[in-house]
Amino acid sequence: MITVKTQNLTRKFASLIAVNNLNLEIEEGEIFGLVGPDGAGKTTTMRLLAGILEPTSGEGWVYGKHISKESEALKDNIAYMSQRFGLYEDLTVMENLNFYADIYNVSLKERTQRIERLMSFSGLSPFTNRLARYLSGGMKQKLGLACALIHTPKVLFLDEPTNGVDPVSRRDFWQILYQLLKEKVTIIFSTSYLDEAERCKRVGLIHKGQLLKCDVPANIKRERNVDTLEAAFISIINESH
Amino acid sequence: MATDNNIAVSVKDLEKKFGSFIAVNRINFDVKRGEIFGFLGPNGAGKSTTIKMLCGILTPTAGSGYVDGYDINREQELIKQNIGYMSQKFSLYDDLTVEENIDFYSGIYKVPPKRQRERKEEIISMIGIEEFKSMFTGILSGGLKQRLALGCAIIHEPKIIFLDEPTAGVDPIARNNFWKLIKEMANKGITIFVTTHYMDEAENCDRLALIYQGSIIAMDTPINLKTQCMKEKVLKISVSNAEEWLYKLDKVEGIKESALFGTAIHTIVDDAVKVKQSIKKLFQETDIKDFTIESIQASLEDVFISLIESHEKVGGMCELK
Amino acid sequence: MNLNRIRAIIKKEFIQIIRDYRSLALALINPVILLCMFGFALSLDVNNVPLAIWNQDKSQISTDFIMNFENSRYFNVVGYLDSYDKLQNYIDRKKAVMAMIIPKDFSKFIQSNQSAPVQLLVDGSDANTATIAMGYVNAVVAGYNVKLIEDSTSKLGIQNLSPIDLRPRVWFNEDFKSRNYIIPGIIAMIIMMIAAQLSSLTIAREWERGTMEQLISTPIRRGEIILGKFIPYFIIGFFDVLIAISMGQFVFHVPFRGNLVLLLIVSSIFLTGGLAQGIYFSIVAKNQRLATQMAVLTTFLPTFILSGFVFPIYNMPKVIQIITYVVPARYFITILRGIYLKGVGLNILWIQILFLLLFALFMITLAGRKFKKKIT
Repeated sequence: MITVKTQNLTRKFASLIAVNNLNLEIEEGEIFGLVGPDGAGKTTTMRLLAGILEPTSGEGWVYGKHISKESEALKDNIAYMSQRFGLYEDLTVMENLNFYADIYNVSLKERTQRIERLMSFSGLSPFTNRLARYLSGGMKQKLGLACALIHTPKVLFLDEPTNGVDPVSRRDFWQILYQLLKEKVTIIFSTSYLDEAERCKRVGLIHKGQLLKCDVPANIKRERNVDTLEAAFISIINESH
Repeated sequence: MATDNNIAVSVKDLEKKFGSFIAVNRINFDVKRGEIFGFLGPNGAGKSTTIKMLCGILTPTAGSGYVDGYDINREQELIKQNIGYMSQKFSLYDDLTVEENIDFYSGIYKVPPKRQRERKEEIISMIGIEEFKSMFTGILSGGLKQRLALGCAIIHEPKIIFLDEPTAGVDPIARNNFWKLIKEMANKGITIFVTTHYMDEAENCDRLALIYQGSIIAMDTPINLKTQCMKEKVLKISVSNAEEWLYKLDKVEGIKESALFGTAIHTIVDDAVKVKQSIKKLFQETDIKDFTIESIQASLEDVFISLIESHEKVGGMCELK
Repeated sequence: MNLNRIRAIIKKEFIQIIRDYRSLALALINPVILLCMFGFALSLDVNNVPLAIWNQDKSQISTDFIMNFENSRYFNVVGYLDSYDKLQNYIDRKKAVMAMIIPKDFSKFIQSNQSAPVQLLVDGSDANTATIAMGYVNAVVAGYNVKLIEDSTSKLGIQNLSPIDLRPRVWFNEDFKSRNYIIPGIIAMIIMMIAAQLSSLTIAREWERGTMEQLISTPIRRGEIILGKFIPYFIIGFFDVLIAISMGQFVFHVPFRGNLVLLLIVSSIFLTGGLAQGIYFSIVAKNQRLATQMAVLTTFLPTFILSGFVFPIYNMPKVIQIITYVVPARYFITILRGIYLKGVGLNILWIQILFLLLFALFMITLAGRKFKKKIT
C-alpha cells in the first residue's frame, strides 16, 4: 500500500522555489530518507506533507488524506517531529507526554500502558519528573519522539531528528525506529548526514528543491560505481548542473 | 615543547571548568606542523571550548598550552595576531561585497598596505570567487560564504588555522571543494586544526582526537582508529526481508546489536567466526538460501560508540549533564 | 470543540505560568504598584501652595488679611521676607510658587475706604498649578472684601447687602477629591494593560520556541488553542480586577455607590476585549518582543490619554475627540465612574456596555480568523 504520494508538489516563497514539482511514492512500513544539504527543501517538504504548510501547486496524499483539502483529518494519522522537537522546556518529561496524550485524546486507560512502554524503550523512566530543559540533546530527542508516538501514528515525519545528537543517542534512536517498523509504521525522515541515509530502505536526494534521485542506497552506489552515498551524491549533483 | 619547531600546537593537562561543570577535562595532545588535526565529538563534548582556549579567547582554569610557540595563558593577544580562526557562524558582513569583506579583514589583521592588493587577488583566486567579487555577501550560497570566510581568516598568512565546525549547513559538493582547499593548504605546510561532529567528514583528517564529555577517549589516524581501536567486529548480512530478520537476529547469542542499513543488516559482534556460524545455522533451519555474511570494516561511528561504551564502563559517567 | 484538549491547553498554560514565577508575581504585583503610584502621586488637587509674603505695612489690618492665607489649607506661608531680592530668590529656588507684597500704605487705603493694591508674583512654569492657585487667591481676597463691605455697611446700619446668596451643593464627589475620580480610571488602565501584555506573549512564545509548529501538526482545533490560552489569562486578569477594586475600597476609600455584580460583569467584558487584543497581536507578531510592544502601544497610550481618564475629552481637538470613540477604555471609564460615584445601573450605562461587548466580540473574531494552523 502507498501511504505517501505527491504529484507535482510545489512550494514557492516569493521568487524562491523551495520544492519544485515533487513526485514521490512511499510504501507502508518503509523507512524513507529525504537527504540533501541545508536549504535544499527538506523541511519544506516535511511541512507540506504534515499539512502545516500550504502548497503553491500540485497535490499530495498522506494515508489517503489530501494534504491541503483534508489537512485536519490527516493530522489524526500522522506524527510530525520538528527540528526543535516541539517540547515544552518548562514542563517535565511526564507533563509533556500527558499534554500530547490529551491533545490526541488518548484515553486514560490506554495512556498508562503506552507511556510506560514509551518510557521503557526510550530509557526516559529515571527522568519522569525532570524539566525537559534539563535533558541532554539525545534525551530531548527521545522525549520528542515519545511525544510524537503517544497516539500510535501510522506515518511518522521526522525533520532532521539526529541533528546535534551524540552518536550513542543516535544509535539508540535508530533502535526505537526499528521497533516501529514491526508495527508497519511508515517513517519519513530528513537528514543532512549521508552516512545516516545509508540506513534507509530508500533515499530521495533533494537539491535546490528538486528530487534528483530516489532509490535504494545500494542501487544508487552501484549505478555510480562508488562505495559511499556521499560520493554518489556528489556525482549526481555535479551532473545536474 | 614550546621550543620544538615541528610542533604547532601543544597542550598539557588543559582544563576548563564553568562552575562545577567540567567542559574540558585535562586533555593532552600535540599537533605537528602541516598536519590536519581533527577534533571529533558530539555537540557539547568540549570541542568549541578547547578551540577557544587555543585561540586565546578563553582562559583555561588549569594546564598549559602553546600555539605557534605562544603561551595560551599569557600571550593571548600574540596568538590572535598569528593564527587564523574561522567560526561556524562565518563572521562575514552580509551587507558588504566580497571584496569589501576581504579589505575589512585585511585592515583588522594589519596586512601591510603595499601587500593588501596583491594578497586580495591571491585569496580571490585561491578560493575561486572571481566572478562574485563585487556581489553582496548576503546573496552568496552557503558554500561560497564558507570559502570566503576561510579566505578572510587566512588573509594575514597565518601558519596555523583553526576551523570550528566549518562545514555546518553546506552541501556535499561545496564540502568536497572545501576539503580540497584545506588539503592544498596543508601541503604548503600550514597546520589545520578542525572540529566537526560529522563522522564522514572526519575521515579527511590526518589524525583524529575523539572527544567525549570533555575527555579525549582516543587519538590516532582514521584508519588505525577503524582497524585497531575497536574490540568488536562488524558483520554485514544481506538477506531479503531484512527488516524482519533484524529482530530474529537479536536472539542469536553473541550479537551485541543490529542495525538496518538499506536492505542489509549490520551487526556488531565479539566473536565473528562463532556468530557467523550461528547465523548460517539459523538461516539454514528456516530454509533461507539466498544470503551473504561478510566481515566489513567498522565505520568511525561504530568505533566511536564502542569507545564511548567502554569509557563509560570504566569512567562510570552518566549521560546527562 | 473538544473539552479534553481545551483542558490540556489550560493545564499546560497554568503550569507554565506558575513555573515562571517572576512573570506571575509581576502580573499580580503590577496592579498594586500602578494603583499606588497613580493613586498617591497623581493628584490633580492643589493644596499647600507655598507662599512667601513681604508685608511692608505691618499693621493690625494687614496682619488680619494675611491670617486669611495662614488659615487656609490651600496655602502654606513659607516665609515673611523684606526685599524683592529675597522674594525672587524664593521663587527661583522653588521654595515658593507665589509671592505677595503688601504695600506700606495698605491699612491707610482700607481705612479710607479705597481700594488697596496688593502685588502678587506667580511662578507660571507649572501653568495648571498657577491657575488653580490664583483662583484660590482670588477666593480668599473676595471673601475678605465681602467681610470688609459687611463691616462698613453694618456700621451704617444696613443689614445684609448681598443680593444673591449662593449655596452650592456638590453631587457625586462631594469633597472634590480628584482621587475619587482618578482611581476608577486607573482600574481601567490596569485591566487593559495587564490583559494585553499577559496575553500578547502566549502565542508568540510558542512560535518563537518552536512548540507551535508541533502543536499545529496535531488534530487540535484552532478555537481550542485560542480558548485554552484565553481562560488562564482571564483568571489572572480577573484576580487583578479584584485586587484593583479592593484597593480602591480599602486603601483609597473611593465611595462605591453602584452594584458590585454589575461592576464585575462589565470588568470581565472589558478584560475579554483586552485579552483578545493581546492574543491578536501575539498571532500577528509571532515574536514576543514585538507583540508586547504593540500591545503596550495600543493599550497604555490610548487608555491614558484618550479615555478621559486624566484629560477631559471635551478639551481635545475635534479630530482627537472622534478618535476617542473607538477607545474602549473611554466607555469603561464612563461606566466605572457611573457605578462608583453616581451609583447608576444598566438602564443608563447599557450603550457603553454594548460597545464593550461589541469590541470584545470583534477582537475575538479578528484573533480567531487570523490564527491559522499553517506556517506562513
